[in-house]
Amino acid sequence: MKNRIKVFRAMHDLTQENLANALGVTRQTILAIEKGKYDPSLDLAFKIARYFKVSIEEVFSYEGQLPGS
Amino acid sequence: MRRNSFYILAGIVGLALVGIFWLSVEIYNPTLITVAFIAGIVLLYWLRTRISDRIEDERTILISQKSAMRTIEVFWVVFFAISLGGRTRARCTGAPQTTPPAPGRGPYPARSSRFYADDAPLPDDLPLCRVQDVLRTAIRRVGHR
Repeated sequence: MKNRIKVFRAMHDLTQENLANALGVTRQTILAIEKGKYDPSLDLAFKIARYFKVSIEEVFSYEGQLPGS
Repeated sequence: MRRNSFYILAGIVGLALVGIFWLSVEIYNPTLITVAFIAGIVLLYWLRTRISDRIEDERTILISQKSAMRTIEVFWVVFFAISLGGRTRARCTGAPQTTPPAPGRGPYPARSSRFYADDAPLPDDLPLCRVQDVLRTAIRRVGHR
């Protein structure tokens, strides 16, 4: 799953640590999400989107194929 | 308390437990190390709750769960293999059988091979794993002559 967290972070002038503290996760988790090594839970994904005051689709994009398509 | 301070304190507690273990061996008091170990772990768990830096979130919990699953997967294989080896060894060394021997076959010989004379033929029902012990003992006897 791709995401634009780094872009939104830059727009809001936030470090990974600041964002992690605001969301209640570790800096390593934010780093792993930005690098695409970890997909956040639904709860965390919504928290990220709400923190940046955007919809979840603007932050995360699903690129996998649905079965049968 | 910062995370690094916790790690330093954990090292100090570990060293203290090593010292208490040594002391308990010296004064032959096993209760001391038992109580000290439990107290040390409780102390470390309490200190862990005092850490101001966040060290646990959904990702770390997931990693811990996966690590625990892998550990269990590896552990049961190793544990079962060692148990099988131990059981096999117990049967080979003539440990008391829990089931009666098959009809027509006598009990396995005792661990020591002193029951066999130097020139006595090996019994037909001697397990192959015991042959090694018998030969080893015979070679030692030849060496002592």
